[in-house]
Amino acid sequence: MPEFDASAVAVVDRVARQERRALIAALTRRLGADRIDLIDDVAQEALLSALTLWPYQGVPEHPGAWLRRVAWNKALDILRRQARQTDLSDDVLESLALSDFRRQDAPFDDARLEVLALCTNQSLKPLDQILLALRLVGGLTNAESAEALLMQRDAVGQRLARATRRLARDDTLVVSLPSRAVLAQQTEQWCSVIYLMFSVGYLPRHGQTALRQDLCLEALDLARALTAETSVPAGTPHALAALLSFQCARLDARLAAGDRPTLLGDQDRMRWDPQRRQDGFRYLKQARAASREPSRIHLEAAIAGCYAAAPSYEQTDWPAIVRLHEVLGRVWPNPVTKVGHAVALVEAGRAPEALALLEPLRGDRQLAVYAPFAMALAHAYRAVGQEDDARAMLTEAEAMAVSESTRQHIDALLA
Amino acid sequence: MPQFALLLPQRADRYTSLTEDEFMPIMKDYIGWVEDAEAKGIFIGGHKLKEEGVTVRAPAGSVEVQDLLSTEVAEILGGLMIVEAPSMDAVIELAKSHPHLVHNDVIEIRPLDEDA
Repeated sequence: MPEFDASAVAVVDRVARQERRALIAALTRRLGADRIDLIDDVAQEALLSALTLWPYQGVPEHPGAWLRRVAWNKALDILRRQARQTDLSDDVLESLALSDFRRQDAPFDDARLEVLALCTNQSLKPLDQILLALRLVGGLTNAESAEALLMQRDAVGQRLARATRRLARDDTLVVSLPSRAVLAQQTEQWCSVIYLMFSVGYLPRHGQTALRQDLCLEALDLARALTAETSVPAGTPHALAALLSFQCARLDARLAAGDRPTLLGDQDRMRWDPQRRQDGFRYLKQARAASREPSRIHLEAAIAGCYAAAPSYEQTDWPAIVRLHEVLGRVWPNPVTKVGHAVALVEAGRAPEALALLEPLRGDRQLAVYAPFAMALAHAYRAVGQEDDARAMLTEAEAMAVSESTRQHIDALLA
Repeated sequence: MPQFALLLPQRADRYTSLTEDEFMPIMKDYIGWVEDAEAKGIFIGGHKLKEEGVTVRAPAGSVEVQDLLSTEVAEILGGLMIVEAPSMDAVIELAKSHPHLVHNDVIEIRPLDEDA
């Protein structure tokens, strides 16, 4: 029976994803954000051509250049056809073809950020923003996005088609790139979309490990790119870069067991990436220096920094994490972050307070399907000696667990 | 080293009704195989043929040109690849791992006729 070299296929997937990103960024810069539907179409067609021809010719030495040439020719064909129907003259086409990739008024040095700014257009629903970002910035196919967000593939396709059409054709919308003046307001929004992109890769869901890792690293790279832009205000981008550096430092250790994430306490800390960890502390320092008021991302970065600084799980600075969670709870009151708060309280020897924090949340709809909540509660019950309650919660947690590794972890606690 | 052509026939309508999501994984299998063969240094080149064309015939003095798509051909040549191998046996082994056997049926192996 034929056997394929799976790694070669994975390379093709990665090349396709990376090239789609680069292609869309380059075409957006050249043709303008208001042609995003055309850009998405020709990028797709170019990738399809590649997939049709490369099986017989092999992957060209410079796949990016190959795709850009094919996509560019397809785009020019379409624009020429449109030119005959509208008043777009040959001169305009010529100037488009000859114009430099970086327009004079481009607000960013990094073309990917222009695409990101487009995806976070405020006229779009949050789900459409993240879908657009996954496709145009992350380079995911509709099928990959559907899998990552647990959606139907057709639904993803329809939403994306509507969103790009809306951006491209509805001239009541402001689709041009933001002026420097509004950059400050939008920075927070870009950061949260990058954070969401990261989460899609990071959370224990179905999907290929390589894809998820790639998405996490791309999100980190975008956060870093945002910190390097002189036109973007410092602060939150640095906090995001810090948070994602810390998380990505642990990526190898987390994914050591294939597609099942290894939980923090069980990770081999020797596998943490020292460079990314160091980057994290540097960005965190810059984030602190740039902002008077810590944002949610600042606080999450600081908490991740405490975990990253600890030589072992037991030696984590739990009192510091508790203090940061107290502030985070005020800045961003969210039941999910209370779980981390409660765990830190238990580890700091304050289990009764952890119980007081978690027990009122037992009816919360969001937490009813969130295994870490039941696990944290069990942890707190066990710490105060309520063993029966602890076992009952662990059994509930097991039923909620998404990943096999979490189930194994719970089994070990029940044994 | 001797060279061989792998001729890859397919049903005429093999790919016409596939959605992109069905099509992509198939093509990725082919690309993976070619990448692998290239890494081993045995892949010389290949050509995909478009799924269109004509036949030219000359029955009894006249010349007939017929559109391939208008004739009811069951099978067309999808493309060909040239590989290098020490012997026919080696190419047969190589062909056994070819994704064309999974996604289509038949591979025809023909040695290139060159000066020996």
